[in-house]
Amino acid sequence: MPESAPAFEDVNERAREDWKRDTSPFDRVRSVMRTAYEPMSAATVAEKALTSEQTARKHLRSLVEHGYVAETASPDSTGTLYQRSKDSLALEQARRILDETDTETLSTHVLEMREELREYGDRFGANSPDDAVRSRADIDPETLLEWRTTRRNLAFAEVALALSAVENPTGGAEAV
Amino acid sequence: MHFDTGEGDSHALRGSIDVTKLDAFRDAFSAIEPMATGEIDDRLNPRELRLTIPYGIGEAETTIFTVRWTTADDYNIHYSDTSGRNLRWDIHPHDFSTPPDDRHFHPPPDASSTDIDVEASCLRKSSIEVVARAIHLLWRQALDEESMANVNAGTNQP
Repeated sequence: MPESAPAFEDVNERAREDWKRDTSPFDRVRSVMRTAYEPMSAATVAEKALTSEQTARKHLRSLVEHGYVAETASPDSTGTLYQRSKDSLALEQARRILDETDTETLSTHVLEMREELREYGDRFGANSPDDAVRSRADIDPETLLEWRTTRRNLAFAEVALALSAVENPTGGAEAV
Repeated sequence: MHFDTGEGDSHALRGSIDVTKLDAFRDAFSAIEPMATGEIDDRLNPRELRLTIPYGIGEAETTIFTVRWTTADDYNIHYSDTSGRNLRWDIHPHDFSTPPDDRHFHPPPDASSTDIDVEASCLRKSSIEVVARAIHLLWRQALDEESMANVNAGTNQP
């Protein structure tokens, strides 16, 4: 059993202070960028990572060099924007899948998920969840969440399957 | 196993379940609670993260946090324990009378979804790291007090 609980006036503030105390600015910038799917300025990253803009910029440059973060020009071209590299995100999830799953299970599940998406498509007469929303199909929010989630998960599983075929060309993955 | 929010379709999370955010929540929570073990329900088609801690409030032998977090940053963070307590912090659209915004709290002992029971959440909209730490602080407070009475107060001043 741990020692007694810390005191705090505001749990949100205390959690921010603890995060800052326990981690380095680099760790926090990387944490912020891990799920940064929309482009952000260095100033925004700095604010979220509880550090200075100068420090955030330095670590962002390093993360760009390592392929973790991608740079994009801002639409009004006032500065550089940063977001998680899609390649790096897809590889992170594909690696986790391959660490925890054998190729046969992976192949079987990919087929099942493709079939599930085909069924959603037929049922709502749409190629994608967004397409179904645009065409005002009669679809409830819970089903929409399920469809979108399987779609996202299948994308990662397909990357894992392709990666396993590259790494083990004599394996069973080519059967899919 | 999926917990049942008992709220029906108008309370669904927006976006899609984001496995990278579930991994990030597990990493953040495990860093401050080394006894916690985290499991994604199905690595190939994930829906939720389950964090299990081998002790709990009062007589409870096991504590479980079940987390769903989406690309749109809606979430359910559901607490349950082996003494049968349930409660949940949520962000998603809802049609309860209060609170007016998407952040809300389903109180113990049964994570009630009855309109008059649902409260404002003490958790601000924050990054996964900060929310995971805030949840841990609130739970530690309840452990000390051996009571859920202040779990959503957001303040702990002995």
